[in-house]
Amino acid sequence: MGFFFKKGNKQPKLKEQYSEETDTAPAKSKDEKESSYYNSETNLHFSIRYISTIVDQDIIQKNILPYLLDKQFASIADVKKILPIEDVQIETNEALIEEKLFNGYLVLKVHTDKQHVAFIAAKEVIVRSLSMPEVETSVIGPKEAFIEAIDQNINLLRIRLPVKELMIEEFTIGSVSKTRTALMYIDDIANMENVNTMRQRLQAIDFDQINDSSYIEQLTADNKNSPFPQFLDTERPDRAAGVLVEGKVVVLVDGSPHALIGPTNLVEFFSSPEDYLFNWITASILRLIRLFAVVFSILITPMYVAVLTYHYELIPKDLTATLITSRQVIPFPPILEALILELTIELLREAGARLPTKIGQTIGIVGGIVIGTASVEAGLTSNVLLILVALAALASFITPVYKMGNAIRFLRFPFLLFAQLLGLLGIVFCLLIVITHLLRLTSLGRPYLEPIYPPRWRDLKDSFIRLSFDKQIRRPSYVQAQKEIRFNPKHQKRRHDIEE
Amino acid sequence: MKKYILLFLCLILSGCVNKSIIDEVDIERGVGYDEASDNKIRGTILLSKYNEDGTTENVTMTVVDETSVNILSRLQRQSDSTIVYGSLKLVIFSEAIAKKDLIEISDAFVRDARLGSRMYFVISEGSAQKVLKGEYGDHGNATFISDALDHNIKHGDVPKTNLHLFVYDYTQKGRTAYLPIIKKLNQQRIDISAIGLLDRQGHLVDKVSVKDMFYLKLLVDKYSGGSQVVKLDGDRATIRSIHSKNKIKISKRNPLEMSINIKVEGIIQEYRGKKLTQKKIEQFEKKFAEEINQNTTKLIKRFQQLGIDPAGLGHNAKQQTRNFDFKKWDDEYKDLTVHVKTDVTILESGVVQ
Repeated sequence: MGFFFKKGNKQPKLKEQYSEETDTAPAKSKDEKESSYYNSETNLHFSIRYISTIVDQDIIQKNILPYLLDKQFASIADVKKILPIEDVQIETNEALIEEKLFNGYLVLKVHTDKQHVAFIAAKEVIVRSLSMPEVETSVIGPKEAFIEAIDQNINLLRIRLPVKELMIEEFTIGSVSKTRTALMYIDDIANMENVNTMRQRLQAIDFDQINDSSYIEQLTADNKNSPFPQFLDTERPDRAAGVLVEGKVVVLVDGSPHALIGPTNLVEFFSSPEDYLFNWITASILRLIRLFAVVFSILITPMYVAVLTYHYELIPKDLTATLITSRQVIPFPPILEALILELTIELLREAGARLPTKIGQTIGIVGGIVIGTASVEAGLTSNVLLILVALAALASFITPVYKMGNAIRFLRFPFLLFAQLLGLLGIVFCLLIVITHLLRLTSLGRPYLEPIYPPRWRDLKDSFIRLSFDKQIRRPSYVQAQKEIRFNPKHQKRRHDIEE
Repeated sequence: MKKYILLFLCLILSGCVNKSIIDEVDIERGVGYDEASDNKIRGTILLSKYNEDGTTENVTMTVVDETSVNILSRLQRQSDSTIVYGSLKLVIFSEAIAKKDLIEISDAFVRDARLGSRMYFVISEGSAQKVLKGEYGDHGNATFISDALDHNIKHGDVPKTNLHLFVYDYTQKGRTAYLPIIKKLNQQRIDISAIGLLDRQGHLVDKVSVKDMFYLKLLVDKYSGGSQVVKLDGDRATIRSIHSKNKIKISKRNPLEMSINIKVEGIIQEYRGKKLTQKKIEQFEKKFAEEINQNTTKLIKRFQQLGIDPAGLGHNAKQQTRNFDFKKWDDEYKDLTVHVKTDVTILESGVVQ
């Protein structure tokens, strides 16, 4: 190694050149503006510096310059008095200039006073309007979703929880992106251990860029090598507000329309915000259907492969004829047949997700009808398997949380492989691995498989099923909320149906 | 590291697992055994071939060899694809085999974990090969015969039987086994013609005809839906939906006496005669009970003479006696007094306007 460096010696040279350049003439971005003015009344020369692309020109023209030029502006201390802007800071620290400049402040310097600088807030926030939730759509219930601006998102939550206990801690994360990240919790409900863990993990992040809350999710996950998401993410303020009241912690990231929720458990990923809007019987049945669909989606193709390859005895005698005749012309073993179809479905999903909506629909039709029918007619796949794979794909779409849906989507491939290698034994083997992994997994240090393990009967009331609200007396036990009781059923007023 | 080695071993060892891809094997559905010369047996296997139009073709292959295992391996050599026997549903023994080697042949079926214990053992009147060579139903012969047995066990007079129960009855001291007997009527039809009774060595010694099958089932099994005709002074009633239970007890010791309490419930479905009054119904109940008592007692006498015990009297006596001595029981059994007491209840007699 040393040999090369001696000969070429290029790297140090490059560094020198770079540092020389920056030292002598600091590069200036094109949108960095500086201009000088003169207040004739007080005979004061002053200059302002700002970044034109993040500053609201309207504010400068209407709310700053007229006042500075016409009012009694004698010293830098006067700025606070004469400007109709609240956020005006007068500092002596020169080092702050750059930070403030790039956060949308105007930097005001007075020529007679070299020591002080004034920072005047003039940030232009471009906010898109609130829109409908696109990932977690619901038929009934609130139709607003988070947007990219963090202040707006906090506002949405504040409106839903107008209590002084709703705490917000702010962090700036990312050495380059300087992303504002807010940690939210309800002070007297949330367990401080959860809050502290989350705060520590947020502070420990050392990364250059945070583009979305998913970055935070991956950087703070308990097990970074797990396919399962360990924080629930939601774009619905109602869901975020709901879990805050349960005693959980919510993380909002500037620039991301998704909030992170922790601690969470596996079953929570299969609950939809709509579950709380239906009556408890409907909601419970829907949840059970969803959980069944997930198991079905993971296991059905591997089962098909295992049974057709090894366990012909398990096929009911009335089904044998159907299965055999559907496979008679197919030249591939069941595993190849299954892999071809599964990959086709994955391709279709990927293509559908990447393409613009209008073309995406066409892809759905092309995939569903053309490829499906054609492959059966060409004798590449059996129609029984086609139905199973389509059903499995359909069932995997049922997961309300997109990230969990993706985890499940790819979980079936190792199952398929093991089904081919060892039959049903292989599927059991694979299940054992997955279950062991889930048992070890935690979310913010709380068990992921709760209430199955550790068994918490009390928490079953809002997991596989959802009991009625008057049964939800306690908050989920794995959150370990400070205030465990949600309400006291004895204090409830008796219902009077008829005034007597 | 160990984990990865284990995983790797899983991958390479899996090559040793036998694959049997469903459309690349011949699935053996039924097998029949007949007598052949030189102490050999003639084995006939029934394969189901599924055609693309949805029909099932019966293919039989026959070979003569010494054991059932040899027969299969010889047939493998004659077949273009592996014959797998895991979903075997039916084993037919000809009467001649049933009188001689049934237990020896069935041993292979009992030992093999691949086989389900709910498959049927049956005895055929005449050659088993002939029965298998028929063309019954649309879904294959084995399915046809096993379905026929299924529904006759559920709703008819055939007492419950399968491999598991057969082995249990045969090996349990104080019990002997029984198997249904089928007969080929013509190329398209079969009939369950009798129940064959086996002695303690597993040899066919007696047959219970269709007429007495009802009473046999009352003794050895429980009813969940049968029908029987009862005649009383020229009137005739068909009793349907018969449910029955029996209880075998030692009623007296020294000398041993046993009692069988049979409880029968049913509905009168059809009645020919004068008006059916409550009194008449009670008379019918009594008559039916009497008939059952007579016929079952007759059957038990027959069992005692032959030294067989399909009802499991000995087994029941053992359960109710401390230090039960089977040697003593064998002597006592022939002259044992058995009381049959039947309690018939007619639940309803239909709606008459």
